[in-house]
Amino acid sequence: MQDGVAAAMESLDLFRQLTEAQRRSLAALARLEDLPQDAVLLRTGEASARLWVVLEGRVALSLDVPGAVEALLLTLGRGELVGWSSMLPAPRPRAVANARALEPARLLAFDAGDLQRLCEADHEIGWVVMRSVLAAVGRRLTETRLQLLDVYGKRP
Amino acid sequence: MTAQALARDDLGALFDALRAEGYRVVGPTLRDDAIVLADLRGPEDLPAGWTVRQGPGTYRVERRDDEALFGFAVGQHSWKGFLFPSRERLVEMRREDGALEHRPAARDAAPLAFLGVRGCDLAAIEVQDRTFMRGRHVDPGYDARRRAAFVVAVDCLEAGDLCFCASMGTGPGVERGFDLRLTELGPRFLVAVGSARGASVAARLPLRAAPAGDERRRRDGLDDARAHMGRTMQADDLPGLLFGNLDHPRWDDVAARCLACANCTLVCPTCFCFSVETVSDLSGTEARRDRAWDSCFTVQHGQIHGATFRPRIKDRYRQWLTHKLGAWVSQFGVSGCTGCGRCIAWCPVGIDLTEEVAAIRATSRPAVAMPPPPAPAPAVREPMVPATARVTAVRRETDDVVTLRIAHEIAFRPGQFHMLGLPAIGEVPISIAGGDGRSVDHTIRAVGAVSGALAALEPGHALGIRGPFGSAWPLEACVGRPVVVVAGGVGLAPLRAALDTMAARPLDYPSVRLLYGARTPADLLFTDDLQRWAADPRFAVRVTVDHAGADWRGDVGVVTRLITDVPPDAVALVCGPEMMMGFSVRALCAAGLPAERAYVSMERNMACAVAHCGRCQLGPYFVCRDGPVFRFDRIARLFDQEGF
Amino acid sequence: MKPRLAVIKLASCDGCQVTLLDLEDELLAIGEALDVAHFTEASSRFDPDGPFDLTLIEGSVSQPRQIPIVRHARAMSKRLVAIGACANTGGLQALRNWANHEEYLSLVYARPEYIETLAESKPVSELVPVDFELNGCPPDRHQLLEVITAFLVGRRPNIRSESVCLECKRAGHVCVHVAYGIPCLGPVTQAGCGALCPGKRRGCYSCFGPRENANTGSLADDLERKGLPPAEVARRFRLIYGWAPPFRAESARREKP
Ligand SMILES: Cc1cc2nc3c(=O)[nH]c(=O)nc-3n(C[C@H](O)[C@H](O)[C@H](O)COP(=O)(O)OP(=O)(O)OC[C@H]3O[C@@H](n4cnc5c(N)ncnc54)[C@H](O)[C@@H]3O)c2cc1C
Ligand code: SF4
Ligand code: SF4
Ligand code: SF4
Ligand code: SF4
Repeated sequence: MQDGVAAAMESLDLFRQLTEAQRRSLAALARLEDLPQDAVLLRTGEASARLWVVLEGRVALSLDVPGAVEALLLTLGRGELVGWSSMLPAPRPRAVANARALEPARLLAFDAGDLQRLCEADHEIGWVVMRSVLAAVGRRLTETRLQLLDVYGKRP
Repeated sequence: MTAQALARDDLGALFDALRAEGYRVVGPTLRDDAIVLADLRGPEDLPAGWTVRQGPGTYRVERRDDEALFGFAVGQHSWKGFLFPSRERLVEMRREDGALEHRPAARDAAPLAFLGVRGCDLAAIEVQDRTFMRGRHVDPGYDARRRAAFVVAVDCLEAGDLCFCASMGTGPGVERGFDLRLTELGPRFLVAVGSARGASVAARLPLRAAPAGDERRRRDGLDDARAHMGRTMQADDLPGLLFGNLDHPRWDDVAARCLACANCTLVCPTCFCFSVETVSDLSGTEARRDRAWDSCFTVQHGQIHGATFRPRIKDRYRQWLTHKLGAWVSQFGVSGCTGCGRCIAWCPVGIDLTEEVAAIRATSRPAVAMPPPPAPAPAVREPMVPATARVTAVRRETDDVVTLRIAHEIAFRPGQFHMLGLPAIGEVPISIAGGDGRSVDHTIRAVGAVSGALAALEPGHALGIRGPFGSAWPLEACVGRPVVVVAGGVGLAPLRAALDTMAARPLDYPSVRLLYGARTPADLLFTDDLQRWAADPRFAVRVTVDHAGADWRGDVGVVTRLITDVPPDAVALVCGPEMMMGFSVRALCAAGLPAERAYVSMERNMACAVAHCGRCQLGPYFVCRDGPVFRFDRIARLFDQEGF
Repeated sequence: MKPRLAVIKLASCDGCQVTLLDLEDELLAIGEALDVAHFTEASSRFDPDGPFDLTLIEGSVSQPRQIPIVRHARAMSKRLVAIGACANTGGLQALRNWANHEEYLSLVYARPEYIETLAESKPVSELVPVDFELNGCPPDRHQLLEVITAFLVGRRPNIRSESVCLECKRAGHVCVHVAYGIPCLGPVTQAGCGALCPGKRRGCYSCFGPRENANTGSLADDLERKGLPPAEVARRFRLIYGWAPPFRAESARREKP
C-alpha cells in the first residue's frame, strides 16, 4: 500500500518541488482511499479533518440550495485538492459545500492534523506544502471568478 | 511636345468642351462665406480673387490682391462627396405572399467632371479606389462613378496654412492620374494632357503654345509651395511607431480635448466608414438598405450585441489616428493621410494630428512590425445584394438557439460566415455551421431584433443571404497533427463544420480533442453530434458547464480547466466569447502550445462583410476579410489591448 | 387583431403629439396599422384600460397626480416609449429645478395655492423603466415614424446616438463653429434634427439633448476661448436639456458664484 502512495506522490505535479526525503516523510502520513460512485467525502456544515488529492475519477463539489435542487459547483479531477480548508489554522471552518465521488475514484488522503504538525516541525516541507495548497486555491479562485462572469450569458 | 496653354479668358471653352462630352461640371465656388464644391455654370462661378486663412479649428475666406481663380487651399468639401455620397441607397427589397425579391438600387450615373482637383485630393481619390474598387469586392456605385469621372487637376503654387502634402508625397504638383491638368500662371493656364479622354477634351480647346519659361515657372512655383508648407509630418515610420505606442500618455491628453464629434473623419477625403440602415414601410412589404457616412468616433461603429469595443473617447481618437496613419498601410498598401489639412481646420476644437504625432514621437517606445497588405484577389461585383433562399428545416437546439437548414447551393470552407437578412429588419453575420453543397446550416442564438427574427423563421420562409465571407479554420495545417478544439457557448457552431470534416477524414486527423464549455447542460448545442463524435475512437469529447444540477454527470467548471496535457505538436482551434478565448489561449500556451498554432474566431460589428464599411477593423485587419479566423500570435497584442 | 397604441400626455406643450399629427402622409397608414386606443390630443376618447402594445408618453412628471398615470401606463403597456425632451429629462420646465419652487409659483400664478406641483420636473424614466427614449424638442417626425415602424415590423429603431456634426457634414453644411465663429453645441448634441440650425447659419442649441459620451468640458473651454464669458457658457448648457446630467454638471462648473 505504501508503495502505491509513493508512486502516486511521485506522479503528481503537486509534490514535484519536494526532495526525495521530504516526499518520503509526507508519504508516511498519506493513505490511498478507493471510493465507490456517490461516496461522500464532505458534507456541508461538518468540520473536516482531512485533505485529499484526487488520483483517479472525479469528485463533485455541490451546494445545498434551500428549497431547490442541489447545485453542482465544480468537478475536480486528477491532481486537484479536496478539503483544502482543513489546512487553515484552528478553529477550522465548517465545510460550505458537499464533496462526493461522481464516479469510482481513488484519492490520496492526509489527516490534516498530522500534516499540519509535520509542516510545523519541518518548515522546509511546510513551505512547499503550503505554497502548493495556495497555488491550487488561487487557481480555483480565478476559475470561480470566470464562472461568475457568466461569459455565455445574455447581455442586456 | 511643346507645352500648351489656355488663356484665362478662354476657360469657358473648357466648360463647353466638358459639357459637349457629356459631363456635369463640379468644382469650387464661393457660397456662404466658404469655398465649397458644387455644380458650376462657368468660369464666373469660380472663386476669382478669393483665398482662405485657416488655423486649427478656424477657416475664413479673404480677398486676394489678385484675381486668381484657384488661389486657395482645399476646403471642407472633398470629391468624396461625389464618388462616395454621404447617403446612398444600396438594395431594394420586396416581400409579398411569401415571395422575397432583392434588387440593386438604381444608380444615377451622369458622368461628372471634377474641376480643380489638387494633388492631395487626387491622391485621396486613389486611396479610396483601393477600398472600393481594388479589393476582392467592388462597390458598383463607386466604381461606376469613378470610371465615368473626368479629372481636371490643378497644381498648387501656393501652400495653405495647414497643408503638408509635401510630407505625404501627394503634392503640391500633380504629376499623374489626371485627364487634364491646369497650372494657373496669371493670365493663362499651362495645360497638360494625361489621358485619351483628356486629349479628346483638349482637342476642343483653343490651346496655344505656352511661352518659353512657363514650365520653369511651374517648377519654381511648386518648389516655393513645397518650401512653405503650413505643416510637416515625418511619415515613413508611422505604422510601427503608432502601434508600438498604444499606451502612450498622449492618448489621454488628446482624449480630454477631443469631442468625438467625428468632423475630422467626415471631412477627411479618404475615410470610408459607413453604416447600413434598414428602412421600410409600416407593413414591411417594401424595404431597402441605405448606407450613410459613419465614423469610428460613434459608439455604434464599434458595438456588437453585448459589447462596446471603443467606449472611451481615447479609444476612438486612437482608432482614427492609428488607422489613418498606420493600419491603412497594412490594409491597402498606402497611408490613409494625404496631408490635406482638413481635419485640422474643421475640428471644432482645433486638434492637429501633426502635433499629436510629434508629441507621441517625442517620447516614444520602439516601433513594432506591421503585417503586409493582402495579395490581390479576383473581383466580385454587387457584393451587397443578397440572394433569396428558403429555410427547409428548423431544429431547436436550446431555449434560445435554433439551427436553420437553408437551401442554398454554395461551396464554403468551415469557419466562414454568411450575412443573413430579413428585409424590414436587418442583416447580421452568422457562421456556417454545416452544409452539403445543396444546403447550409446556420445555428443562431436569439439575442436581439435580427437574430430573434431569424431564429423565428419556419420551413418555407424566405430570407436574404450573402457570402460566404472571411477566412477559414486551418484544416490543412492540422493534417497529421493532434487537434485541440476549444469551444464556448454558441462558439461551437462555427466549429461544427470543421469537426465534421475531421470526422470524415480519419487518415488526415488521427486525434481530435473537443473541449466544450456551456452555461448549463440545457445550453449544450448539437447533442447528437457530440454523441456521434464521442463514439469515434479518434475523438475525445469533454463537456463542462458553469452550473448544473445534481443529475449532471459531466464536468462543472470553466472550459480552461479541461486544457491539460496538450501535445506539443498540436494545433488548437478556439471559438467562443472573447474573454473565454483569451483565457483558453493563455491556458493552451501555458500548457506548451506555441501561439502560432492557436487559432481564434473574432467577432466585430459588420455592416457589409466585404471590407468596405470599416466597422470590423481590428488594428491592421478587417475581421470580415482577414478573419474571422486569425492565427492568435498575429492579433495577440491587440487582443489584450483595451479599447480595440 | 391590430396592435393597440396609446398616446399619453403629462406636463408638456403638446408639441410632441403635434409631431405625430404632423405625419400627414403617414397618419392614415398608421391608423390602419394600429388601433389608436387612447390619444389625449387627437380626440377626447378616454380608454385608459389597456393593455396597449405601444404607448408613447410625452411630457415630464411635474404634478403629484401624474405619478399614478405613469405607473398605470407602464403596467398597461408592452412597450413604453418616452418621447420628447420633457419626458426624457424634465424639459424646459426643469428650469424651475434651479429656482426656489415657492418663489417661482408666487411670481407666475396669482393664486399659487391652487397650483399643485412637484418641486422638481422629472423624466418618466425616474419613475418607471422605459423601453426607448426618443429625444428632441419636439422630436423629429421621421424619427417618430421610424420608432413606430420599427415597432410594427419588429426591428430595432434606427436612431443613432451620434453627434449632430455627422448629420451636419452629411448634409454638406458649412460648419458655423469653424467658418464663422458661431458657438455651436452640435458636437455634444444627439443627432436627429438633421442639423437644422447649422443649415440656417445658426449654432445648435441642443434641442435633442446630450449625446452619448458628450465631452462638454472641452467644448465649454472652446466657447470661453471664443470669448463667451463663463456665465454665458453656463446659460447655453442650461436650456431645453439643462436638466440632463452632462449639461447640468457643465453649467454648474461654469457658473461663477
Ligand atoms: C463572423 C461572425 C460570426 C457570427 N456567427 C454567429 C453564429 O453562428 N450564431 C450566432 O448566433 N451569432 C453569430 N454571430 C453574432 C451575431 O452576428 C449577433 O448576435 C447579431 O449580430 C446580433 O444582432 P441582433 O440584431 O439580433 O442584436 P441586437 O442586440 O438587437 O442588435 C445589436 C445591434 O448592434 C449591431 N450588431 C450587433 N452585433 C453585430 C455584428 N456582429 N455585426 C454587425 N452589427 C452588429 C446591429 O447593428 C444591431 O443593431 C456572429 C458574428 C460574427 C461577427
Ligand atoms: S487625415 Fe487630415 S490631413 Fe490627412 S488626409 Fe485626412 S483630413 Fe487630410
Ligand atoms: S475607422 Fe478609419 S476610415 Fe473609418 S472613420 Fe475612422 S479613421 Fe476613418
Ligand atoms: S479630433 Fe476634433 S474633429 Fe475629430 S472627433 Fe475629436 S474634436 Fe471632433
Ligand atoms: S456647425 Fe455645429 S453641428 Fe455642424 S459640424 Fe459645426 S459644430 Fe458640428
